[in-house]
Amino acid sequence: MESPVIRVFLTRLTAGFLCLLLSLGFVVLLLDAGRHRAQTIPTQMEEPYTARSVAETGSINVVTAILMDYRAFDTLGEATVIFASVAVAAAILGKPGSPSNRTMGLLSRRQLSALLPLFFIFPLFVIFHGHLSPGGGFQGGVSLAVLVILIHVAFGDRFGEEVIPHRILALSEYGAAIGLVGIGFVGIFQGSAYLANVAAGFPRGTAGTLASGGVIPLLNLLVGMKVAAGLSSIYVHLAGHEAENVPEKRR
Amino acid sequence: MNHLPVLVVVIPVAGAFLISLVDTVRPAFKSTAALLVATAHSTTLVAAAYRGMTGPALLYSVGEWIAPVGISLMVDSFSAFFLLLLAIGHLASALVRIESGDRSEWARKSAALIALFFAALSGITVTADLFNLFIFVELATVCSIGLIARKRHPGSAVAGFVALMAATISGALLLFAVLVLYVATGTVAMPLVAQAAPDLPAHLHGMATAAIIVSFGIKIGLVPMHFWQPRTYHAAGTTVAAILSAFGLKIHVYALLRLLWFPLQAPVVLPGVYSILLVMGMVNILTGHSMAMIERNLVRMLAFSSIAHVGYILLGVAAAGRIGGSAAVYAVAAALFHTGMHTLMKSALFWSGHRLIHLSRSSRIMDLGGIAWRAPGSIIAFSLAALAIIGIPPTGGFASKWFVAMAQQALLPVLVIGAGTVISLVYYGRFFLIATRRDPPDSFPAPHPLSLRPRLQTAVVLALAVAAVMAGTRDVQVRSLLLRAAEGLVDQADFVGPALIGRGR
Repeated sequence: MESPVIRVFLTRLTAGFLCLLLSLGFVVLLLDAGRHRAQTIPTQMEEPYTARSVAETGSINVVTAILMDYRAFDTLGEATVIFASVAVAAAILGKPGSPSNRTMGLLSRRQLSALLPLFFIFPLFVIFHGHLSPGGGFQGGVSLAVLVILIHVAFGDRFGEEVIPHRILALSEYGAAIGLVGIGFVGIFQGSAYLANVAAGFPRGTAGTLASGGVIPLLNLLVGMKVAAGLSSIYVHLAGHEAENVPEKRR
Repeated sequence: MNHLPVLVVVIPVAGAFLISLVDTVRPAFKSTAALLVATAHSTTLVAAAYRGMTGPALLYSVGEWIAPVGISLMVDSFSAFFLLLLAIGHLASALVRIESGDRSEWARKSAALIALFFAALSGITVTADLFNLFIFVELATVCSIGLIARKRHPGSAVAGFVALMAATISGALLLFAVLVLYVATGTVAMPLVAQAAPDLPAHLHGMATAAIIVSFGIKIGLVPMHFWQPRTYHAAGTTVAAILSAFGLKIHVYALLRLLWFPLQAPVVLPGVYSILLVMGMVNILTGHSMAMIERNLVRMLAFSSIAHVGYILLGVAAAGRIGGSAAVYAVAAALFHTGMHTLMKSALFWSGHRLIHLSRSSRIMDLGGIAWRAPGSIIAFSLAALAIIGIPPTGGFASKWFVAMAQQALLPVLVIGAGTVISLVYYGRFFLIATRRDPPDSFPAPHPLSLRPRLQTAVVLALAVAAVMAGTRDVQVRSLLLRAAEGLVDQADFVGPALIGRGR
């Protein structure tokens, strides 16, 4: 007779084995694809971005140049996915309920109140220097959201709600989102295409300085705002939800 | 440069943000804002579709970066046909969903989510870039999960989770296919991939094709992968189920066809895949109809019927791929005809069913006995749409099934189509007899207090049902439109040409 423990173990073993097999096949196939490309595609197709991005966009960070200029439409789509995720979380979890007021200990709170302003510098640097150094709107926005979550965790949800009301988070998310879509229209009004950068007359600036890259720093800022506000309001919804649905255990 | 290809995506995205903003600042104007956004989006869609149908393909380079560095969008006559369906869809769903004061968090967010869902579907339809397509598919998935998983509806959280798992597998497979094609060809622009596709090693091409078929097969409910659909539609409720089945599903069919014909060049490189699709189509018809016949729940019955009708579309598609050449145009046109008809019929069925279910507060067929006498407008629309979906001449549903059958080269698919028609006559007829029973129970439970506007809703479903019936008698006009759309898929000259010459900077 098989015991349930053994059966569960065997099921997991089979599942794990299948997953391993699948990922192996995946890797082999990708390596094959790479080999095929090396044989057939001439090298000038190889790197369409690196050689030209500084001259064309004014951003010395090639990744940001791709994300915010060449393929900015994808970034708009991704930012919209985050927006939709926030709306979905809100739709499923409902209104942020009665927040818990658990806080960290006194020492942690004192320490954090001194350190938080310093922590604030890093995400801003990541956002504003997105076209110069690794980073950008998404990464800086996530770091900002972590700060909001830290305030909630360390000082309690009620204090967090007082300092950064949920309504403000929602409004800044919607505002940044509308700004992001709206900036694209500048390209159309300038006689160029949607989300055009230098082609729409945005100044390219001196590559390597803060004021360069045309519209890229502005896009980084808006994406950062949107991501920060969106992710922190997902947290606010989750935090309120737990307090709402488990009242018996609390009392 | 004509900006319509990008506007059909950007206007509803901006609209969704505006709806959320209006909902936070002035909640009373939310429904008005949603209706305005839907109207603006539908107008743009019709304009883009008109240009795509009448002129050469509209090509757009976002940010004035041409492929392979930038993202190209494209509207040709094939995508124009689906843009038309989306125009009907967004406007009709906004009209049907005008609420009277439901202030739950789900109702507040759902207006923005529907606008985003239609934005994502428009994005899938216009994009000519594989990775951009993946992003819009993901956006559509996220929005549909939010629409499905309503709070405080028993089973909806589980259904949302099952749908999420199915969508995750589907998304991973699509990403895998895009990755293989990108690594092998060095580009994600569809025209450039299409150029390189014939030279791809057979196993790479085959794996990418298989991954794409399974990925979109999950989305459209090909039979082994259909498990999530009835449960999801049931949990989502009729209003959302209509949006998912009548419009969301069709755009995923579009994506599958576009990917098979254009970047993968399957009719030339891998014609065997269409024989597989032919078998899957027949399995879908038989499974969907038989499951619908034994189903006791109206919403689940309609969901299984959707699975069956994907089969009819696939039969047309498979015939097109197997014939090849210019004869394929007729088969594709037949598949498109059935796609359009199913959009009209299924949205009319779901939305008129909404009123019936709403009045009796139950979606079990046995609980709906005699309900027809309480909502005559809805049952008329339901019956007209049911006549069309069964395939009674001279409705549009009959004409589209007839064309699909005419396109077949073998006897078996035709027999399957006939069998499916008979089975669907049984289960729709049975529902009609139960709903019009003369001895209704003395008292129905009081209807749910949060009512959508019944008269407006009835007018919308009647219009959709009448359109589905009338299309059969106007098949000469419909056919020229369909043939033009099918040419867009089969002859890709006006798509490949301008994309490769390059425009802009």
